Amino acid sequence: MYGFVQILIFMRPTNQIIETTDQIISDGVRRGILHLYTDNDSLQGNLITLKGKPVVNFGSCSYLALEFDPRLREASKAAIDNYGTQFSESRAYVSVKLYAELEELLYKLFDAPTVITPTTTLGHISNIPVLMSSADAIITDQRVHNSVNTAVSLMAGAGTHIEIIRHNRMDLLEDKIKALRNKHRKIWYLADGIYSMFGDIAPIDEIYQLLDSYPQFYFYVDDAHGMSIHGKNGRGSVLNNRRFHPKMALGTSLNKAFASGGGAMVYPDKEMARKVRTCGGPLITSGPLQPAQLGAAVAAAKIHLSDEIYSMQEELREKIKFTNLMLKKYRLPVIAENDEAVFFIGVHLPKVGYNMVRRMLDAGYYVNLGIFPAVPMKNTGIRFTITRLHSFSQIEQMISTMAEELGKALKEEGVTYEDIYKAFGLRVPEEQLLDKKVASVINQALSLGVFHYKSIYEVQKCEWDQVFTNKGTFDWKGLELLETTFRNNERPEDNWEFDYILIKDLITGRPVVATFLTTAIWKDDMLSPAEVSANVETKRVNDPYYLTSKVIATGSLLTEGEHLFIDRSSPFWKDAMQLLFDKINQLQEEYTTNSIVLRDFQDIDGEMESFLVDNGYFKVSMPDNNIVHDLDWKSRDEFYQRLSKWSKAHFRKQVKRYEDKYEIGIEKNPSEEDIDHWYSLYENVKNNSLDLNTFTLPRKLFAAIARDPSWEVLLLRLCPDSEEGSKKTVGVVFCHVSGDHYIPMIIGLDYTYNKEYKIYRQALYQLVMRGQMLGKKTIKLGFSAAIEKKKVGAVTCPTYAFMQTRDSFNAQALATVSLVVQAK
Amino acid sequence: MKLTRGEFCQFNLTTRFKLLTEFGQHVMKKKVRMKMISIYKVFDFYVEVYENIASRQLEKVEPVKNTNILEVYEGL
Repeated sequence: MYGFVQILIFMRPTNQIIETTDQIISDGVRRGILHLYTDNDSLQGNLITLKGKPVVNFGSCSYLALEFDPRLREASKAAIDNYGTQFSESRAYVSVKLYAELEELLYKLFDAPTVITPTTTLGHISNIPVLMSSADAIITDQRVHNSVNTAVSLMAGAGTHIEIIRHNRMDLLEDKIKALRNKHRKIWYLADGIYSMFGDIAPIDEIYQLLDSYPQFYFYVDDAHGMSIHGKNGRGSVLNNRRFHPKMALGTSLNKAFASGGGAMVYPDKEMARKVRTCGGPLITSGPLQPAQLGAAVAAAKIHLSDEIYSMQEELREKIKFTNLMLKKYRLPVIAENDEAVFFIGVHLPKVGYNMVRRMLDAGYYVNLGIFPAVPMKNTGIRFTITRLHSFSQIEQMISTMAEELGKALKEEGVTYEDIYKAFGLRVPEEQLLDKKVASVINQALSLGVFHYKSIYEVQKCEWDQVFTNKGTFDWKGLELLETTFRNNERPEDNWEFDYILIKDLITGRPVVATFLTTAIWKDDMLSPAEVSANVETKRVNDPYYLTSKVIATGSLLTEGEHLFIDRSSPFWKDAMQLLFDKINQLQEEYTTNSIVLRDFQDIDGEMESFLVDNGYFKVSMPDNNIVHDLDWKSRDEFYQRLSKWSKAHFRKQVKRYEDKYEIGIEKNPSEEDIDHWYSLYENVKNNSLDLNTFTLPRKLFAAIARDPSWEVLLLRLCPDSEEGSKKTVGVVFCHVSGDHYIPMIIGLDYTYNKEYKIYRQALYQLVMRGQMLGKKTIKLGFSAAIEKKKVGAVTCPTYAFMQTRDSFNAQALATVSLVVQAK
Repeated sequence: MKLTRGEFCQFNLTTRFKLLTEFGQHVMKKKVRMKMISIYKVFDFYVEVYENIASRQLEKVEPVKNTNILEVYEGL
């Protein structure tokens, strides 16, 4: 499982990942494909019984099937007889004798000093804080195992420089080494020997070349999935035909092909091993491996030190070779072709993954579901493993079943082979290009029509406004203004693509789903905490597009509200949504965008949430939206009386006291000088706050809004009798006024006076007064500053988006920045 | 799914023999000097298996090109 879980760390609130994971895993549990227990009273071979059904187990990581070897079983039993079920003392004090025997055997096996740890994860937690220091730089591979990342996160607080690089990109690694070598004592690269989800491998030879070329460069590798099945004495994939590099530390598992338990940490010299053994946290405070595991490990080590291990390795290799051959013959979408025992067949979306695992279980095969957070949502797949226990006919039958069932599952879920290859960034084989697109099938079957327009001028005004009036600032006129503003500009971030999609029931003629999408460059840290954005902005000084991505989203960066209309009373709403997904996917290809964002969901029910997750979207908390609903008061005094006790006190001290310092105005016919001044006030706010970090809006927008009848500009001027003299505009708010809502969208402030005259608080109050005076039903005060907005009667509405990300690298890089910044 | 002759030959002797036992049909067996020679039909071709009777070691597991192989052995 690689570090995709990092991605959501930067999102708010931070427990979002728990919620999303809970939803996805619980869904799998409900469908009877996750959190399973075997029914068997005893196990022998690769047949297990799940929910009363015997199935062939294709999920075991015990690749050499040593768990059933009588020598290991007997040794384990004997260890219990001799030492009891446990020896409960910290290894800092006393270890049972078997530890010494095992350490000696492992020393011979690796031909290098070894420290045994209770698990591989605890091994990394023992190693990394001891081997690496605040003077070092740590570079992690994008897909390094989550257990390594867990240990790395402990280094963030120490101030260690931590970065992430794209998976297996040695050219980028070398660039990083060159850039960091004069600033850090050591530069550590952390990777897996064999990656646990896709079964692909690290380019060890190239890493060794870098180790030989750069004195400051060090390598830390997790070879859990390579242990036993490769190399002399089964010492793993990294050490297969290679010396132990003096600048390398290796962590591996005794809990997979080694068939016993625990982890083995291997070092180039005794001093390094001694230091970890002495100072590694879990080696001081955690419990040890117990006699049963140690006994089995000693027996396994003896097999590894005999020639028998080579025939076992050869037998497994032959089965892997056969599996690869079958996968090719059955034309399954294998994600990483290699000679390892882990295979990953892409299925694209979670709903296909659930469907496939269920089908495989029904057909008598247990395979793993490779799903979020272990892999990105759109890269769901079927992960299976091969062990020595599998017969060739079991392998052939399982793969032929998978090929047959995948076709059926794809059809059932409305996904094509082409979608799978595209989701994984792979070339689509020619025969799969003939695959019929789902959209046309649903279209014909259900009489739904997809109407796609590239400009609001192509959309009938009455039809659009019938759906979107009163939803936000994106009625027909509002979109006309946006299109005019965000086209034909100099800066890339000011040029947006616009797409309008209506999916209609052709019988009733009514829209079932309608939305507009904009494609634009977003800052990846838009929703990150301000201190994270501040860090990223320092790098944007020299590289303005650092950690930015092209995003296709419902709505736009300048609109808020219900951008996606769904007629849930239509029996075809889910089919219409499938057509929308299909259209968005096409647009994503056309515009080469990285992410898709469906924005501004407020009251989301379980059915809708499951539907979106099944289709590969994960839920993200947006900043809370703040809305004033209570506007039926008749006087300012009545408004005041309705405030809470706490808000009343605030109001008296922070707002009312300053009210007479201001003259409030509405400007309908501004001069160019006015607009210049307002724009400078907006820039003040933009540059002062990174809470919602976006690109600076173009001046052109302000000129357009200021003269548009659907908008008004609320001005806060300091009165002549105030100490500051003559009617200086110190606050400006651009508000959308059409429909039932009053929507302040952009604010500008003169911070010179903000502290003294509390301009922001006064602006919020005046907006509420103005909205009420205009007879509006609600005032949408927008995202952020919830506490301030609550004080003028706003209610906080949790708002969510649903996202799909094609390439998670930027998000992972941002998560790393976030980790470091927040630890400081 | 059928393997071709070439694909079959990518595997070692032990695997080839296992493939015969799992996917093939035993057609005939003949003792010639100290060898036990078996013929299997697997996928779309015949395979000759030589086993050393004394050591019980597999010596050869090779696809046969001669389509009249059964007649050849029957003639021995």
